[in-house]
Amino acid sequence: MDELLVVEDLHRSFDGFPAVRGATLRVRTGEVVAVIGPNGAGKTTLFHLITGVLEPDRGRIVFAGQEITRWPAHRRCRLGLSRTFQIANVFPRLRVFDNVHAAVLARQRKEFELLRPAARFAREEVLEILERTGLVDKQDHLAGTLSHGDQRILEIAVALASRPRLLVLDEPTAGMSPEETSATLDLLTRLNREQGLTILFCEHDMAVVFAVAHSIAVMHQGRTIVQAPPEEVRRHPEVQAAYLGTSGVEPALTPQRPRQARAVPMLEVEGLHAYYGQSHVLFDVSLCVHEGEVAFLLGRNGAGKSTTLKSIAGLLPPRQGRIRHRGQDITGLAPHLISRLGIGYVPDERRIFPDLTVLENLEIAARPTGPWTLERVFDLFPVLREKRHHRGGHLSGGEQKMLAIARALVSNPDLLLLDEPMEGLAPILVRALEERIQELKKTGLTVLLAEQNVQAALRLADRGYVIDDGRIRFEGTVEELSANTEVRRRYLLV
Amino acid sequence: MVTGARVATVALVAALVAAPAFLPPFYVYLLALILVMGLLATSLNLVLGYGGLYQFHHAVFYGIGAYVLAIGITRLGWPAWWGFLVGPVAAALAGFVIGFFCVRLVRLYFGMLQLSLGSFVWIVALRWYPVTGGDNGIHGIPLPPNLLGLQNAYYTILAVVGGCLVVLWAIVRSPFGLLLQAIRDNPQRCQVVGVDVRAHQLAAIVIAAFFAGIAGVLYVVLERSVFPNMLFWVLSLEILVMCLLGGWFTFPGPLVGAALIVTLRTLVGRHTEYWTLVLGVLLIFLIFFMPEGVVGSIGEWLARQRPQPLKRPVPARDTHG
Repeated sequence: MDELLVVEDLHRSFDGFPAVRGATLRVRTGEVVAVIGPNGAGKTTLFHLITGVLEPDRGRIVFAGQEITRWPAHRRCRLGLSRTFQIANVFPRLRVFDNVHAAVLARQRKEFELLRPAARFAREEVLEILERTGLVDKQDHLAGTLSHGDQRILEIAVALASRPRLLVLDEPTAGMSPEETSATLDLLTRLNREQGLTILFCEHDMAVVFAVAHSIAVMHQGRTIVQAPPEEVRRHPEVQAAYLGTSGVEPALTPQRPRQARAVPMLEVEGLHAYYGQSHVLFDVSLCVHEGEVAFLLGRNGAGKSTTLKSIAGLLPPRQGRIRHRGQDITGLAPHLISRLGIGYVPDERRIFPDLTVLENLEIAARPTGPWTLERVFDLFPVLREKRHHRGGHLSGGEQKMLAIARALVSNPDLLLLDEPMEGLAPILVRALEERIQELKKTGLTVLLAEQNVQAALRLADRGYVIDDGRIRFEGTVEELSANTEVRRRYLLV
Repeated sequence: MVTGARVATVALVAALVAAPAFLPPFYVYLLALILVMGLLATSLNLVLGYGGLYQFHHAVFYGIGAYVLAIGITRLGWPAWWGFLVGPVAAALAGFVIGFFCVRLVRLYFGMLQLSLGSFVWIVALRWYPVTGGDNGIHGIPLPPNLLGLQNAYYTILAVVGGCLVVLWAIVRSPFGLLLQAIRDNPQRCQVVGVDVRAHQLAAIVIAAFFAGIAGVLYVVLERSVFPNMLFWVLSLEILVMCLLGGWFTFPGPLVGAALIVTLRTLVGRHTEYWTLVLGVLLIFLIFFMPEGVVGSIGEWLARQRPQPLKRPVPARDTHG
């Protein structure tokens, strides 16, 4: 088996944040290779670098014997490198048929065929691909009207139309229902076994990864730690530490705060159902956060943590269910009104204003109705005081995260929704941030903390919830979760 | 539906051919002007509606076509047919030069650079008195006798515009046109299926500029004069409005838009100099009630009348934003 794709020591930074710093990968002809790793590990960036959507700062990519490190994307495709995207990426105003047709015409180099109707070219081949992917009945629908799962399948169909030698798939089953997932797995297995198609994909669903991959590469903080067959990866100590989590949950480092005698509910969520367009992502989510506590919301990537927080913050109004804040119904309120009621939201992708300085970022949000002043958040995050005249976009990833938290604090919330504050941060920053959150906790702030990092969350929180597949699977205290190995193994992989 | 459109087209062509026999000269002139502006707007729509490029200063290519013809005949002593050929080619060449820089940018940045480079050409036409006649323009351009007279001019314009529209229609339906629409919908996806997006967009701009140049020389046939306002940004805005008004995701939309605006300007303009006020009210109405334009909205209405479960087009995520 010869090596179809060789990636050597790739690096790529965004505004000083190294998203990929030393990625190495080997894909042999006929293999199925999976890349796994926590969110923010650099998997998508690595795929962008391999397929030419981004250019690397340094490193080398060799495909089919040619060095393609700096080639534009369309030339890589012509050499046999085809891909799909993490978020369904089709041609929404074109029919399903035309989506595939466009890709076939591009492969046949008919793009400058000006005067003859497109319908005269490649009709059979398009129909054959639609047949193979099960989309033939929907060929006249506009792609933008398809269900999420069908759009993902259409993406694969479009990628196949390029007749790739290597198919690169970025989380192919994300957001799919279990049925759609198994149909997609069948399709991929068939393509690999029957047509010898080489496949490189990344995925958070470990069941999918271990079911189809011949070889698994693990990424952590921009580096590939190891690439090996599945059994070896499962046993690899570094992998367990970085992604799957070490075996036992460590006991909480700090002594638990004595639980308040009377627990006053600050936030109550009841029977929440939420949708992204067509796909149903939250199913009957109910939870309650009491005044003065730090509640965790744990779950794997794509489990529904961010969606839950977005629904509470008003960014994704629920289709069903109730949300109450201090007893007041806030379901369906506009985000700015919810914010004024005292709910601060720190999104996982930070969303700071890149062209404003740190100070300006904070001044915009500041509301002098409570204890949090600019001085006080600067005391909490001294690095922000140092850099208060720097532009937001020039801060490192970790500093941006701190800025996002500081920005939520100066609006003087009584409830803070923190979405993966630790994600993608260097270990040293994670520790610093943990200390800060501990301090916040001492001030009596109520926090709902969504995390993938189980140990950090358990060190910080009192009680909380585990979510998986958009459904709440567990509710209880830190001790109860530590004792419940079944829940941890099934939903948290620890 | 398809046969309906075909019947309508044949009827329209027949009516246009017969028109001079029935209409007073003023309306024949108006029809000829509509045809010229319709071709100009349709050429813009190739890059705007089908290509998704914010070509904010398309009139430049129209002006270049007209000016090259006028300068060739009056200053350089070219034979007229040579000017008719070189005018559109010069417009296409200008499209290549301006487009070469613009396709390196996206969305509004593309539009702003296009506007600046185009305005540069306008300034040259406005200030280079010995060649372009400056703000006076060039008038009374001598043309071959078989193009003289309103009747002759009208039929020449009708034949050339008809031929151009057939070619543009073929281009829109060709593999080139399909991929152009795919680029409009999702340039990134196009790159990774092997399309050289910049080259494709540049080719579309050159083609559009060529047909705008043809519209320019046809204007000379109708008016026998050129003036700097032909490449001023206001005219570019006007043809942009024609595309939006008629429906920029449809082929006949810009033609309908051109007919509406030219008629409105001429008829309302007779009674008041504030005809743009009427246009403004019309546009507000359009934005609220017919966001897909006149033709687009009629198409949607027709689709809803039919019993098939044909799904309505979803608003594209990036085109309205």
